[in-house]
Amino acid sequence: MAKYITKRLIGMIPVLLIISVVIFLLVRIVPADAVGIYMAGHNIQATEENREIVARMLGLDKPLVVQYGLWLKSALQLDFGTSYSSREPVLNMIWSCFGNTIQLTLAALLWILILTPLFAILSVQKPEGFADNLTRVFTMLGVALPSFVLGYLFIRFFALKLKILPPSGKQGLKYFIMPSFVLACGYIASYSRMLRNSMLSAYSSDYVQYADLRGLRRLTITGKHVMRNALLPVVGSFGISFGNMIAGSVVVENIFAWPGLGRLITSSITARDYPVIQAYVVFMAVVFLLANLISDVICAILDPRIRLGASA
Amino acid sequence: MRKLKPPKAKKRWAKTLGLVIPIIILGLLCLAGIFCKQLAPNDPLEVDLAHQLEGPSRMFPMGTDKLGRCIFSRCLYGIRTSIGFSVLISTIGVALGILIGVISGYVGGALDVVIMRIVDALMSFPQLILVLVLVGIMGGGTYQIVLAMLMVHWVWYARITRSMTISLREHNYITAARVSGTSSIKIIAKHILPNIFSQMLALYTMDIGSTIVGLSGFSYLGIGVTPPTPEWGVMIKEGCEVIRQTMGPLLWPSLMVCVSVLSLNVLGENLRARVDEN
Repeated sequence: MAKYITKRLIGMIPVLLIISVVIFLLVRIVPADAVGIYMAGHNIQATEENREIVARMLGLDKPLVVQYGLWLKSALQLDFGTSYSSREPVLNMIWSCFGNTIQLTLAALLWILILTPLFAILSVQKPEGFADNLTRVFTMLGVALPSFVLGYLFIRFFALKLKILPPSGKQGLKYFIMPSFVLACGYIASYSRMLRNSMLSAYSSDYVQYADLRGLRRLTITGKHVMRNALLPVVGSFGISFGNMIAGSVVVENIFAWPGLGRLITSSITARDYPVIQAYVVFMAVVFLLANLISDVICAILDPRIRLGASA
Repeated sequence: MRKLKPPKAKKRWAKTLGLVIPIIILGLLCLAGIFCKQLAPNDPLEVDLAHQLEGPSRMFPMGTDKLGRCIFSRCLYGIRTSIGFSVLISTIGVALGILIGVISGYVGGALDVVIMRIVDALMSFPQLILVLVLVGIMGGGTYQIVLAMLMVHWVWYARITRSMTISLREHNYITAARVSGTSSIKIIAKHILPNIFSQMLALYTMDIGSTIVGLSGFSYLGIGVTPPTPEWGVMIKEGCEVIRQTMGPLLWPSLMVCVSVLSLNVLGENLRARVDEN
């Protein structure tokens, strides 16, 4: 297992290098005027002389390869430069925002872990029955209703009308409830559907029939035989979903004024804060690659076939 | 356990209804989009500060937004932008994906490896982030968002088409065609593409739906379609800003998104069931 993880970690290095080159080139190719943006952000007069000084200061007067080399060198020392607009070190900004985003994502994960099996088990009890159809409607709405609409409906109902939950910000546990649920909603919808289908096919398999003939209790069968196998495809797609959830938090954070990465990147985009955008991409790449790795490892733990295949 | 019965097969009329109803709704929406000039009671861009945030009335069937613009007219014109752009993005994206996937799968070799590496790299990011970054670099706006969404859209379809092409290529009738001297282009056009199209139709239908949601999401974030344009996402964003006063400006465009996406999804699922049966 350790060998497998090391191999995967080493495999990430070239991918990250390619991503950093691509993003670096993209930022440089675009005809946007980084010097102008920097000067506007710092109230520097737009004279020709000042332009040259700023260009030299930002290292934009050197050839592209040298620029990339310098950027990579400081990036390896975890120095991603300073933001054009807030003048803070980019890494600090990203790091503090990332903590908030991860907290939000984990809270959403909690919703998913509680509600998904619940819905799936309910709807599998009687296929095409009431609970099953209800979750089906829920699933379809979860896909068709954009999360920001749902978020504002929640704000209107729970925060403005009932006044039981705070509408926005992050100051305590109460502030987690709405954002994390809105973030989780779409995933609960699609996962409970997925789990239901794989549970249904597990129920009709030989080993479950056998367990049934042995007279095991239904609960034992569901928990021990059906769930464990049915969870596998769900967990498998989870790595991608975890990344998607962090991405999806962009919208949710903007709804609830959550001080996370999503807010940072949208405001950086409007301000054209290139150092932040660049660092964000690299950072996200690391997060997604790690998330995929973790989900693969969990799959291996759940499924002896994969685990044994990997070590052999 | 013994009580567990396999799900009942859907009745025939239910299947037909599942195809007909979404088609009727979508058809009506398209007609309304085409004839929005004749149907709209007001100018969708006309600001009227005397009629801010009004409820539904005879003059404004869905009320007015924060600038006193007619929501109904804006919803109608929004069909053109929201559904229009989404269809454009999905169509070009899917077509490009099929083209690249077929070439990659049929030709194989080094080209296949290179294309698949690019696809893998792009797929390791969620689409939302990719579009966000592209827009971040290019700057926001209607054309930029359409371009950025197009640039990441083909990837998924390229991968599916490629694997479909590879499995089709192994069939005997394709080998027979190749042995009897049919040109590659003819094999692709006559034997491979028709097979792929029937499979892709359902995906394409549902893809338009998710593109509508995606496009409105970017407008909501303020990096999509530029504001005065009547687009559902822009309208929803403006409706969110007045959520403390009234629900109307948020609900109507959301309803439009919901109805069109639901119809597209139901249509897609029933199409897929139909294709799977055959």
